[in-house]
Amino acid sequence: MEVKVIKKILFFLLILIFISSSVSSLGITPGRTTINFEPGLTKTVEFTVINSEEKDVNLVVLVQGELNQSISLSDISFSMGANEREKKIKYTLNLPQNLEPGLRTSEIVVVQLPEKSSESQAFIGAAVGVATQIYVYVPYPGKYAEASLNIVGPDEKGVINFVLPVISRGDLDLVRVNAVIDIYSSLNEKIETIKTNEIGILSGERKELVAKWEQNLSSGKYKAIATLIYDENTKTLEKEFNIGYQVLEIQNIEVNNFRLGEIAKFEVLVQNKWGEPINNAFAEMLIYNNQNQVMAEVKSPNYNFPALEKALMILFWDTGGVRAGTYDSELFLKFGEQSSKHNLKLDVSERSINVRGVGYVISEDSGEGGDIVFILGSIIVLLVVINLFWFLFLRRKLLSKKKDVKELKFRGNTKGENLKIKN
Amino acid sequence: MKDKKPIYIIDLVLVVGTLVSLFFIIFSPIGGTSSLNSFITGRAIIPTLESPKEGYVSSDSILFSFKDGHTLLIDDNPDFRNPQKFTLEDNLYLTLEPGNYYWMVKGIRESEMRKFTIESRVELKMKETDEGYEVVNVGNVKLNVDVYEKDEFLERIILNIEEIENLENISEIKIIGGQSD
Repeated sequence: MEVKVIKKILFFLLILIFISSSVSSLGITPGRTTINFEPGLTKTVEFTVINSEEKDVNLVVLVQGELNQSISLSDISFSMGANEREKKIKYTLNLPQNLEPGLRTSEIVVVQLPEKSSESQAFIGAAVGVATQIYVYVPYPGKYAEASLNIVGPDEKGVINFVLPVISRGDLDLVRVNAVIDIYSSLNEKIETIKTNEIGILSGERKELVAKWEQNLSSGKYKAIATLIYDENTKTLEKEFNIGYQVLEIQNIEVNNFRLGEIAKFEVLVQNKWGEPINNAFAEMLIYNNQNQVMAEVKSPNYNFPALEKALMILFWDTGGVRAGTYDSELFLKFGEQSSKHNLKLDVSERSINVRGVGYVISEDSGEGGDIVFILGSIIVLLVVINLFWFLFLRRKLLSKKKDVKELKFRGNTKGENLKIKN
Repeated sequence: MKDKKPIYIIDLVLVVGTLVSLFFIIFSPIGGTSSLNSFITGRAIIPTLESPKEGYVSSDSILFSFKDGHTLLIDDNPDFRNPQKFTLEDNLYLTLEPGNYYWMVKGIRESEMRKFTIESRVELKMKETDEGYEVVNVGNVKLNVDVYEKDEFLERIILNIEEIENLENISEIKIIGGQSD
């Protein structure tokens, strides 16, 4: 019996070794370093090589590209052990006195050598390499602007933000930079013209032009053509955008009345942000253990969402055998051919599951906190007013009234008169 | 003394009433909101930023945590002309595109502004399959992947984040990944 168990363990270990040896993985960060050209500039740049699989690896470092004569490496080959996840390497960039205007590039490539054959000492298998790029921007003579057009929105109020990041790539500063954006329908009819703010941009600097547009258009495709005006020059940028597309948005996730070991009921509040119904949508959740393996896969029934309406999607997770702790999870909202992924962290304890969102808002803005502060603040102000009114005004008045009465009594008695005092 | 008795009673009622009311407002579960405490006690009215620290550099998700605030603002421009807004009750993990960012928090007042950087991470995973090789972009940027067979350039493929590409019938394969524009 024991021999059988040992055989099984050995079999699984062999499979594990086979699987791990057939995977190669390598990383490098940063993927790009950007430098503004200065004649004769010397700069030492550090980058990190990531041994993602945490295996014993041999690596070589190569320099490629038009600046390769200007780059010297701290290491041209090195090894990383299974216990070494990251290694920092340096290169020094010595720029010449002159370079042609524009973008000049090079890259440093780190290649993980394949394993050597035990018989021939020749390399076998596959090699993976990753590159960190060096981008050197050499200023153009005069004034030169590099720009892109980003369209953000529309938000829940229908506001679309047009954002134009502009970089001054010339050797002269840009004094007046602005843009005019024309909006066209799918039939190429001009609908609106919007103007951005006006700014000045120093040579080598990056700034943004912004225009907000409160629109009330029907769903469909539109086109924005932006004319960037910088001093005496212009540049045209074009981008298409949609208004009203199929989006299901998670508003909130709750797990109520939970006990560890029992079935957890996830209530996912989802809103259809599109102006049309979305049918047959469902949620799917993957929960990972600490080894990053899927420990549970749960799915909701199908739901139909009327236009712009909210609904609760329900998922059940059997937590039998699950220990308290934090688990990574992925929640997918799927309909038609669309799927959106939301990374979550589940804090599982004996009596509760706290769902933390990764990359989305955890709670809705109820504005409740602000109201409470306002109400209670008003009460405090009211108390202060009452106290001031009493102590500074009413109390003094009453005291002086009493004093007058006493004085009258006193005077009446000294004159021997019988005075009737009315309160 | 007897004449002033009603006045002293009103004094007592007002002072004790005010103190009891203030105690309730500050320490009760409803009144005990951090914003109100700050408002009354005059301390920490400005939101306190905890994480990330000034100048923090990472190529992974970032944890945002702070106190005495309710709205997190993130922008790639220090003038916060077009920020992303997050209304929060708890800490927030965010995965952002590589770049330089600025963040601040709004509460009763605005916090200081901090800068952080998300560095691009080029990372490739290659797995041997029955048909050939499976290549996955496991970094945080879109990649250009050059494919070589016996050191001879074959093709350039573009891989989005987490995208998988199957490469078949290639012997002595070499792939080199770099950040795509």
